[in-house]
Amino acid sequence: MDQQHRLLFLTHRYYDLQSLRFAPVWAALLALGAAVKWLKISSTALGPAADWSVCLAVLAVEGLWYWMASLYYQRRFGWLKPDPLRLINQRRRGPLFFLFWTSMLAWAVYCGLHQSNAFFPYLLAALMSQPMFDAENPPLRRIAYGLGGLLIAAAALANRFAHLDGWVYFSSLCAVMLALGVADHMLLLSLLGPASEEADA
Amino acid sequence: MPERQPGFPEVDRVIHEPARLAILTVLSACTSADFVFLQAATGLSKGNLSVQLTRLEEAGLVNIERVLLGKKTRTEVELSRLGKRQLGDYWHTMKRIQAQGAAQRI
Repeated sequence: MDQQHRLLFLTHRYYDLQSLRFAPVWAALLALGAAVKWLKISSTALGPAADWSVCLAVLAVEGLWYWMASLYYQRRFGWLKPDPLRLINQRRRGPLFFLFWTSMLAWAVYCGLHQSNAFFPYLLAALMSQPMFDAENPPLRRIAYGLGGLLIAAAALANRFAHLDGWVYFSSLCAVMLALGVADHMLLLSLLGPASEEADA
Repeated sequence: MPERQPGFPEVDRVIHEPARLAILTVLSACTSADFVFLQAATGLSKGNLSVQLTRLEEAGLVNIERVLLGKKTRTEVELSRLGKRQLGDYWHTMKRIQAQGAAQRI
């Protein structure tokens, strides 16, 4: 990627590359999956109030993290106001993504995932795999998100036919999304890094 | 100050300088950006970025605004209308030079 494309990509995708801001959702789901598996805690034993409490706690932690992470990115790397015309152009990919998301939804229903606790995380993960459709992304990022989406879909299929352990499914889904968040953060750092010598020269 | 080399179209020297071109490229991809982002993206030192922004503001290519956020100040920079036009012209000129160079090689 040359200097001009690096600067354009960084500016266009600055906020997209901050996907680590969603890390607590995946970390919390991973922890919850582990608790259900290893500590034998079940929501049926605790009652529906426990479900709501857990949901609210996850949302509160996510909200706090999101705010803190946004503040960190703003102080460390700065702030920008995106170009509204660019956002309109991005929406042109909307129908393609809607088609993909609907297919993923149909796939989840086919795999019987809609009756399990993994349905919401599955839909969220499918929603977040949008970067695979963006041609401006470096091929490696598109491949990573494509593989992530494929892994999520394959795990759903395994969940149906191989009666995969819920913990295995949950942990693979959350681990994929966490890994993609870390990869995005590393990409952001690498895009910011090499500029100094070239631009100062 | 535009400079003409024999056989080549004019190049805007204010824009052509690498640090200033990097700043303008970032600003062309967003509505506005703050000083911290420009520094992180271009890798320029605070002093150098400040000097280059002043130069660009003097040339009328960018607008600089200081916004108060509580006790802190955020320096927001945006490409002016003239800046957008000049940058577009600059890329057009560069393409012409590139095409001319390619034609001469043939």
